Amino acid sequence: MSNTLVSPDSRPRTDRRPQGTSLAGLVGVELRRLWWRRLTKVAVVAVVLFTGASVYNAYSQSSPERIAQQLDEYRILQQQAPRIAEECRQQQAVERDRSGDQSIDFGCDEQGQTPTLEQMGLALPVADTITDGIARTSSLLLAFVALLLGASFVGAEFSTGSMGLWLTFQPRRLRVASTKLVAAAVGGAAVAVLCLVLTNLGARMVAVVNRPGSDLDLPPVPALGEPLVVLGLRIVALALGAGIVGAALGLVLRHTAAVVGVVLGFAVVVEGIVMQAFLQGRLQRWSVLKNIEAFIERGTSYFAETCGPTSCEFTQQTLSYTHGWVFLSSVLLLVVLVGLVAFRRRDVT
Amino acid sequence: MDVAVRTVNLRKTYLSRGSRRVAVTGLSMAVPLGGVHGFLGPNGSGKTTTIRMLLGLVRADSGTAEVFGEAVPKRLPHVIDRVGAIVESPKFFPAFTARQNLVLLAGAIGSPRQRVDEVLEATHLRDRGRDRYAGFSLGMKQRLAIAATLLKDPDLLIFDEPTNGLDPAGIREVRDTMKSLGAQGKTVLVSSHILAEVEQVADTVSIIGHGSLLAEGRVSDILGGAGAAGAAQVRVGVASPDRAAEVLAADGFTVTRDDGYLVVGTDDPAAVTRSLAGHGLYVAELVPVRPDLESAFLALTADEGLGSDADRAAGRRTGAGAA
Repeated sequence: MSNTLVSPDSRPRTDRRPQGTSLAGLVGVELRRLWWRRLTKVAVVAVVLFTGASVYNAYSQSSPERIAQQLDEYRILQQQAPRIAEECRQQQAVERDRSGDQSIDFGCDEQGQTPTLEQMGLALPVADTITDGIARTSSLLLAFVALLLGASFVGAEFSTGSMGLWLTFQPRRLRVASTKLVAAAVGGAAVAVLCLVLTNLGARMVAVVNRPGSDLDLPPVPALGEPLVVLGLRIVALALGAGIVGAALGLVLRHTAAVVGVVLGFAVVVEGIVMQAFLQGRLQRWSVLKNIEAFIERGTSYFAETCGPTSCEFTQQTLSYTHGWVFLSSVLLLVVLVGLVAFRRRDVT
Repeated sequence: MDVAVRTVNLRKTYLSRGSRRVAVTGLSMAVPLGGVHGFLGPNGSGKTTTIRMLLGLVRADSGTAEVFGEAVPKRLPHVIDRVGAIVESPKFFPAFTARQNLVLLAGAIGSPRQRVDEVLEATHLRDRGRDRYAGFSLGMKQRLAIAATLLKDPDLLIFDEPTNGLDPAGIREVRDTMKSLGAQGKTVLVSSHILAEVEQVADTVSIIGHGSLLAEGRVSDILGGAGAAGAAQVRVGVASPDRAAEVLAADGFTVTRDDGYLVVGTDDPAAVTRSLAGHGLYVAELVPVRPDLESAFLALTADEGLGSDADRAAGRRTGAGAA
């Protein structure tokens, strides 16, 4: 073998220099790298397993046998209600006689009323309802997975040192950073879409498999507050934003573990302690988690102290959907700006 | 002179935990177009920082740098496809295969996929293309790094300490590769603190210490300067060195001791043998001490407290002719 590491003439046989890559082409390269990453595959498998487990849980909760058993329990409750009310009235009468106070009220009329089937959660298993339930509960988890993917996608480049090599091929830093943020966004969104699609497919199967027989008399399914696709779009947007935030934090902190540490630290210290312990709950208006909840649930509420002229009391405060998305968009913009500035100005060693 | 790289008063200070460390201070140097240019200096002298500044990885505090006449880092995107660089050790994604790593880099510059196969073949890595980078030996990592630089068909190749950690065969391969690339008309800028190695391949050198230029020019000129800086010397092996040293000193020679040998300053080696033979002392070995890059380097850095103890030991061994 030759003593040189290269053939005597290693020039390209294509006889032309590389022509450079468009921004879209560069995003394509980044997406390819994202797809090749082991963590991406692990995340996809984890999401599939989580979705499968959620769908299985929905299946076992809505099986005809389970519904029939719940209906039996409901009927027993209906039969026992008059007797319970009667016993209550007797005890109430005894107490009134003993105390001489005829105003004593044990609330026996309420005790004699049975809840409705809807209140008992008994309804036909319908795909959209199942999907809606699973999607809402998985939204935060999907956001965290997207954030982790984004952070690791950028952090690994710094920790392996390959960012320096990459910049010797693409020295325009803002362009490089932008393509990484876009790829992280697409990755986060793709994970959310995968979860929602699988959930919906699974929910449809559950609805078909668990369709109860005509002997079960169930109430009509309450209509969802909004089309399922609108909720899905919000969850995808949340995951997309989380992916971008993860990648932007990766540009600042340059290590996946550092990003995870900061995010978890923020969740525990700021969200878990500071938001609750200071200003009598009024800080919750600026809580990221509360605003995520407001964004996904189209509004939410929290308890905080409000003071009138004479006294203070804890009252329920509403956090609107608009406040949620405006706040989250602002946070996203701020983190991205910090990430881009840090990446553009700091040395890569 | 046409230059591939030029720096003028380049300066870089690192801030770390409240302390300032000047890595490069007013460095002005020029790398001529074509051939191999050695960039020499002891560890910590600012070689890697300078290279990083040329590649836009590190921002200079002040001064200017040009690559092929384009100011960097501002105009770096206009010349980056003519520059291939390996800074310190090769750094790729360890979990990806060699081919995957190259495909990504090729995609970043719009190089056709076919070029990946070409460079894998050119660097004798074709059969290992599907192996993970993490499992590569250091020599293979170095090959892959060279393959990556060749994706661009660069006119300027920058190798930063390319032989670090390589076995003798690997060192020879890298050395021959640099020679070969230089012979193809490319400009090869190789930084190293192993001077003997650079001496074998470099046509021109820049020597820096404490972040500033100490000497620059053709290797032959630097060596000539080193030779001229002190008298010619010979290394003498003799059975009774103590007695021989006394005799030579009495005859007016400058004599120093070196591991049982005598290093004698003289332009006339025959005068040394005559002097010793006249006193019944017979020379067993007599070797002219040639000025080499190491000697020149040590001479240049001696006043600045540069170089490691090992470097100094090496300087004593070779006579440090220019000192």
